[in-house]
Parts: sequence; C-alpha cells; structure tokens
Amino acid sequence: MVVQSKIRIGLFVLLFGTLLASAPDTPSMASDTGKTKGLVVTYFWYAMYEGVDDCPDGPALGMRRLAEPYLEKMNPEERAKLKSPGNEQQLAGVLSAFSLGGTAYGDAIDVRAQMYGPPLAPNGKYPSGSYGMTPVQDQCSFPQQFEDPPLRTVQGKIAYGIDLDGGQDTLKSCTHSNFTSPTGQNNVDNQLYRVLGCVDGFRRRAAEEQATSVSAGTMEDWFHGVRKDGSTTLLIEINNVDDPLNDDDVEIVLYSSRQATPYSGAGDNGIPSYSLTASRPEAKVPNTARGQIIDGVLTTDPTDLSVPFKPAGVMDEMYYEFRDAQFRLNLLPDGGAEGILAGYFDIEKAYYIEFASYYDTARRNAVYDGSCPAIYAAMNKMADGFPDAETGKCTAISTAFKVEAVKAFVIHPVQTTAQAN
Amino acid sequence: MSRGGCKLAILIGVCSLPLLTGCSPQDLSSSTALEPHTEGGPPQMRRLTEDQYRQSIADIFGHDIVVGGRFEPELRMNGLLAVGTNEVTITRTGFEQYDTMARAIAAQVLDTEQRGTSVPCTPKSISEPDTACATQFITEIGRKILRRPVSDNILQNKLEMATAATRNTKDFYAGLEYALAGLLVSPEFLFRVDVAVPDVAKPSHSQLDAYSKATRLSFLLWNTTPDDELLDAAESGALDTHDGLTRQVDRLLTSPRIEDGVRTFFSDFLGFEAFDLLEKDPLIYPAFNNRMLVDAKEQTLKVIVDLLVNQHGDYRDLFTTRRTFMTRTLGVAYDLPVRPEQGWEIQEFPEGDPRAGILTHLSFTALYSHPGRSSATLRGKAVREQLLCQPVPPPPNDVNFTIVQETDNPNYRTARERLTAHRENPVCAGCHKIVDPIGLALEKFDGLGQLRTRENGAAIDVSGELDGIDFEDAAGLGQALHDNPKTATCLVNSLYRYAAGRVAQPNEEEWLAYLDDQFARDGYRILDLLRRIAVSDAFYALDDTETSPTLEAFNDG
Repeated sequence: MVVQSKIRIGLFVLLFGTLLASAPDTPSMASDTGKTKGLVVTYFWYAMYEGVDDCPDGPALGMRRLAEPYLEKMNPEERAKLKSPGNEQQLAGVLSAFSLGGTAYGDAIDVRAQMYGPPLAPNGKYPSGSYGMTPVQDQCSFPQQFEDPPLRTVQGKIAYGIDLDGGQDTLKSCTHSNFTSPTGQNNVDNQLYRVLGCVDGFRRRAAEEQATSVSAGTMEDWFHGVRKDGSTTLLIEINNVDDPLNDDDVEIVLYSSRQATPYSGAGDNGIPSYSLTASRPEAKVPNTARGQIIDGVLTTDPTDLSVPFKPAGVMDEMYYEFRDAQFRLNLLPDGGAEGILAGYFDIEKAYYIEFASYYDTARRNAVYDGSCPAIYAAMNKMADGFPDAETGKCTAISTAFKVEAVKAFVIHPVQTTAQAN
Repeated sequence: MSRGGCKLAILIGVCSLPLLTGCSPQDLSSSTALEPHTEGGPPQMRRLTEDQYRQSIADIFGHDIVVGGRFEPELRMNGLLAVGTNEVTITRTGFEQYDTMARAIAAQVLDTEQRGTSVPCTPKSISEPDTACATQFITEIGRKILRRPVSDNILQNKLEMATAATRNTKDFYAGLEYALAGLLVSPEFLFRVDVAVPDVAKPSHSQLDAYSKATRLSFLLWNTTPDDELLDAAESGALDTHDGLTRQVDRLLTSPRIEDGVRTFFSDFLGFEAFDLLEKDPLIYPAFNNRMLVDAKEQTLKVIVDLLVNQHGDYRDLFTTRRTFMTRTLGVAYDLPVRPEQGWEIQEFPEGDPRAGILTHLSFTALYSHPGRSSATLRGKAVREQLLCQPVPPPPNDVNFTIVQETDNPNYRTARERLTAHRENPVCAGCHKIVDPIGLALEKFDGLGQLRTRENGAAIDVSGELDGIDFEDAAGLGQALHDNPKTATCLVNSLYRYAAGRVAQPNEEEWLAYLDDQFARDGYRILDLLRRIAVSDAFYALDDTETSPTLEAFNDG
C-alpha cells in the first residue's frame, strides 16, 4: 500500500543518507584503464511520444476541470478574480483546498466529495497521514478513498519503449495492448504512457491542443529543472569495454553525485568531460546491469535497477525502482549516449514517487492538472507486469524513460577511478 | 653623479648620506672578474604595480589589511609591463584613488584593535599631540613604507600633519592616521626611486645607494618591499660589499617567497595581464567559464614554479614538459579526469596526448585566439615576439582579412588553407611566413584550447618549421623551441630588461652576451640566472650621461 511504501522508502533514504555522510572525501589516484566509459545524464524523464491522435476524447480531467462546478458556485466577482492573470497562486490554493479542505475554502472538500465521490469516512474520522504535516484528507495520499471520473488515457498506437514481455502475455504479464515504436518496432510495452499521456502536466502538446491548458509540460519542466538546477545528478559507468562498438559483455553501473550536472549556461546542452565524484547507493540498492554493445548500441539484460533521483527541496535521495529494466543506448562518437531505459514500475512505488511523495501533493496536483484518484485507478487498471501469484492481478506497469547523457569522468572517492575513454 | 640622480638625491634628501663602511666597489668586482663592465642605464623612477602595492601593504601592515580601490592602468613597453612602470606617471584621478586607499589603510592600521601592535609606543594622552611617540611611529613605519630611513624633511612634515590633526580631532591616533596616509601617498612609496651616490672607486661616476639596491633586489626576487633584514643590510653597508650582497641575495633566493618573484616575472613575460580582458563566445565554447581562465593562468605558473624553482630545472624544458597541474574546471577543456573535487592535482599529459609544454596550455592557446576561433597568426606572433624576442610588424591598415575570418568558407576549411590563400597577398606574405608555421602547429587546439582533430570536416595538418627545423606537431614545435638558441637568449634579455626596468643599453651588449653564456653554463636554470643578475655590478650600475624622470616632474604634474 501507499503508506507502507512511504515508510519503507523513508527508512531507505535515511540509511542511504547516513552512508553518504560517512563517505570519505579523499579521492583515489587510480589510473585510467581505458576500458571504462563514463556518462553524466543530462535528460532523464518519461519518453513521451505525444501523438496527435493520442487523446481523441480530450484531455484527462484534472483538478482544474473537476473544480469548475465548484468555482461556478462562487461569487462571480471572486471567481473572476481567481481566474484573472496573476492570480494563479490563489487559484492553485483553491484547487488544493478542493482536495484537501483548508481554511480559506473549507467547504471545498465536502463539495468535491458530493460531486465526485463518496464521503471519505462515514464516521467522520480520517486515517492519519504518514507525515505529521500531511493533511489527512489529501486525495493524493489516499487516492483509493476517492472516486473521480475515470482517467482519459492514450488511444494512439505509437509510443516509445521496448518489448518487455516478448510481444505477448506471459506468466509475467497481463492482457494489454501494445504500441508500435516511432521507428516501427512492434510490441512496445509502455502502459504508463497510456496512463499519463493525456494528463496536461505530462503532455507538452497540450499547450497547442487546448487553449485553456495552463499545465502543459509542467512535469517535464519540473523534473528536468531539478536536474538542471543541480539537485540531482545521475552517472552511468560502462565497464569492461574492450571494443566501444562491439563487445559481448559489459557492465553498467549507476551512481548519483553530489556535484551538479554540467550544463552550458546558454541552454539545455550538457557539457562533456567533467569529472564528477560518484556516490555509491546503499549496497542493497540494485545499480548494476550487464549487457552487450552491438554496432555501437548498448543493450542490457533485464534486471532490477534503482535510478537515484533527488528532487529539489527533498532532503534525501529517492529512487525510480525499475523491475526487469533494460537500457537501449546509442553510444555516440563524442563519448555521449542517447536512448531509452525501459522496464516495469511497481504500481504502489510508481504512484508514490510520482504523485504522493511530496508534502504539498495536492498543490502539485493542481499545477499539473491531474487527478490523483483517477491516475491511481488507471495505473492499476493498466498494470501489465508481475501478476500476483494468487490473484493474477498485475502489480507493475511498463514504462520507458528517455535518456540523454554526455561523456564524463566518474571519480570514485576511495576504490577505483572510472573514466571516459 | 648624474644630473638626474643628483636631482633625485637632493629632492629626497639623501645627498648627504655618508658612504658607509665597507662601501667598496672592489669588493664586488673582485669576485666577478669575468663580468664585463657596463655603464648601466639612467636612474629609474618606476611606479609600483598593483601587485607590488598590495604585497607591500600586506608585508608592512599584515595580510588582513583590505586594499580597496582602482589602480592606474599599467603599460606594456618593449614587451614588458616592468619597462612600462618606468614610463607611467600618476594622473590626478589616479592620485585620488591612491589617496582614498591610503586613508582606508591608515584607518585600519590605527583602529582600536590594531593600534596596540602597529604603534610602538603609548601616547601620554590619547587626545593630545605626543611628539616623541609620533616621531617613533613615523620613523619606524616610514622606513618600511619609503624603503629607506625617513628624511628629516619628511619626518618634520608628517609630524606637523599629525600634530595639527590631533589638535583638530582631539585624537592622537587620528593624527597618526593623517601622517600615515600622507606617507602612503608619498612619491617615494608609490614609485621605486633610484637614488644615486658618488662612486668612490670612480669619482666621475655615480652608483645606486644601498637602499636603492635593496629595493631593486627585493622587487626583483620577491616582488615586494624590502624586509627589515634587507633594509638593515643596506643601513649597515653590507649591501655595498660583495659578501653582504651575496648573503642577502642567497637569503632571498632560498626563501619560499622567491616563488612570488618568479611568478611575477613570468606573468609579465607571458603577457598574462591579457587574461583580465579575455572573453570567449559561450555558444561556441560552452565549456568556457571565468573560473577556467583563472585556473589556466595558475596552471602555467604552477608548472613554471614547479620546474624552475622546486626542481631547479632547465628553462627550456617548459616547452616540452608533460608534467602539469590540473583542476576539475580545467579538466573539462583538457578532456582529462581530475580526482580532487577542490584544488589541484599533479598530472602528466597521457601517452598519445598531443600536449606537451606550456605552448599547449590553455594559458597560451586560449589567450592567443579570438573569442570565437583559434588564431595561428596570434599564436605564431606571440612565440616570435615574446619567447624569441623577434618583433613582428603590425599588418598594414588596408589588408582584407575576410578569407581568414570566414571559418565556414567551404573552399578553405582549415586555418592552413585560409592562411595560404591570405598569403597570396604579397603585403601579408612576409610576416605570415615567419609566424604561421608556428601557429599552425597548434591548430589542433581550438579557440579555447580544446583538442580537435578536424576543422570543418577536414583533417588538421600541424606540421611546420621553426628557423629551419621541421616538426610534425605541437610537441615537435615545443622541442624546436627548446632547442632554438634564441629561446634562452630571449629569456636572458627579457629577465634583465625586467630587472632593470628598461631596455638594455648599447654598452650592455657584452654583459648580456656574457649572461647568456653563463645561463647556458648553468644549465638554463632561472634561479642561477637571477642570482647572477642580482649580485652583478651591472644590475646596480648607473650611466652618468643619462638623465631620468625626477620627482620634480611628479610633484609638478
């Protein structure tokens, strides 16, 4: 469940934070073996294809649209003021209150419940939040207790991703529709794109599709911004590279770094050849994969991988926990790489890290104009991996992340030094 | 005594200084019998550089004294800022800046926390003048500031200033502040003034007095004001003896502070003040940042100090050494891993890396480039002018540079192709013929100094020749420069020019040839060369037939 996930991850990041604090500062003087390539990731977020026919029924109903009936009941002057340019913060506050209650619009949560869902707790008592400051009525923390209108999901046929299950349902899969990749590869599994692809905040194209959208691309902006502002840095080390174009056995290791991802001041471009000190995740965190390089394309075998991620304002590192993760990376002549990391997310973990791991989840919900209950329900409905042994219900959902990286020198504080080329 | 020297001496009240015991030129000449005689040059009046001013203040008053304000621009003449210091004066605006700085420094030195250590006595009353205590303060601090004993005239002047200010403010220390600020704007502080005294051995000649020698010595070797021990040696007459001078020279040379002197010379010699104005186009060179420039300059200075001071190595090896120092910021441009998150790491350019020697450092390749492209011509010209002391004439005014500047012209994809086309203009061909083959050897380093193998898709040919010696690449150029006899000769001439603050006189040609020869015999070691200059007669010789700028000019101006 969500609450259990919170506690588990909270303990984990606490342990990892302790390890970080005790890591020695003195770098080693190990020499370059020439068999290791280093990368610093300059882009890592959902690979969103955003086809024109993805959302034929219109955008997913998010907080703003769901709140519209409530806003209609407001004093016209107050409503006009809220919707006027420059008052986005106040409007976000109202929308937040719509899911949380709140002092200024205390009745909003009740209005919402009357319109879209059953009373949260018939006895008037709500479960405690896992953090003392989390409002107990937070629909994002307790999405299963709300019944929003069903999420409008992607109906298009094309998406980025990888065939994770061999093209058909297997013992590790549940019935679902596959996509075709933009380059024509069949049986692409990316059910999480199906869930998120019509939510304004996850869809850049929403800006051109809807004149009223104020959230188009906000999630990408925020997550990419976290990387650009130095809050999170992801390093990839490719070891045992005998031949950079063709090698049947290489090792891939993920690290974070306390140093900022290097970007040019003039734009989004990463600057290659920086030396960045690696921070090793806690030992139990899976950060290693094995794979092959064929004609300059790195492909890894399915394995569990945790990709470190540290949002701005969050003290401890978090992880995107992939199951059966697979890299497909084109290794570029300049030492950089671009491609995809695909795999499955455990539903509860994926929902938590994306929608419920922050204090003011409801306000963020308003910013990206989503509906936590509807998304949570859709994720469960679209789940296509790792069926429960007893119920047969899938517990994980396929996904794909776009990866861009530039050459870097991965410096290890104590043991060895891994360097590009 | 020369007229100029006499004027100086009269003006600052040292004509009457007695020649002290042991002031015998024979003492010096006897041990330097091989040293050719020179007549020297005219007395100098050299304005302190910003670095010298700051370092002097730090050494006199402590490193916690903040020096704020803008300094007068420096002037590069005959290849060196050091020569320009003899030509520059102080403008009215500049003087206001010095005055402001002096007041701020004096206020810090005499604030309630500092005065206990900076004033050697306690006034009888904190609100009334105390001539004895003020005299002691002005005399002691004045000797450090003016680099010689305070003359009666100056002492009297500053005492009157202090007394008047104390009476006005009812604060003894405020009075001292005025006096101290007055000392700090004295021309005798702001300028290094050569003071001439009669040469006992040759009554028709004059020579530098001992304090002027101390000043020359200290600024040459440490780039700062003489310390107490050096001033004591001047006062005792030791500096006028060979043994005494040698003892002080060796003391200064073996001090860690010799690094400051070496760094300052090479910063000047290599034109590093240009870093202050260096810019790069961030769209073309996204890796560029200002920290990189600071580190680039420091990298080369570290290599110089490491090789020439710490290892007492061969100067010419600067152009071939693969040993270097690296920071993470620099590592981005050099495409090399750097382990420490902060600070420097000693590295060797790896096998197969075309970099070797300081010509392949960013401090050269980035400095002698345009903001958005490399420049074989600027690089070649810098090697000719700065490292080989061979002036290259400026281009004619009416030259069309279009071919050279259009780096995207598909007909001329590389700098070599563009410059070859440019040289078809016979007006340009002469100079480019002597600079381009040098600069083209460095074309694998772009305008920031990053390695590249192709330009506009075309392979870059970095072969060339230097004065008849062919080479294949940048390392070969470094070796050719290393082996070129003009390289060492240029260093000798430049260092002497730097030390003397003027171009060498015709009468010094034999001396320079001797110095050049000794440099080779000494294994091209810079500390040995500095020592030979510092203990020589030539370094302190004055030419009676020349006049020089005087303090009158300053005071009148």
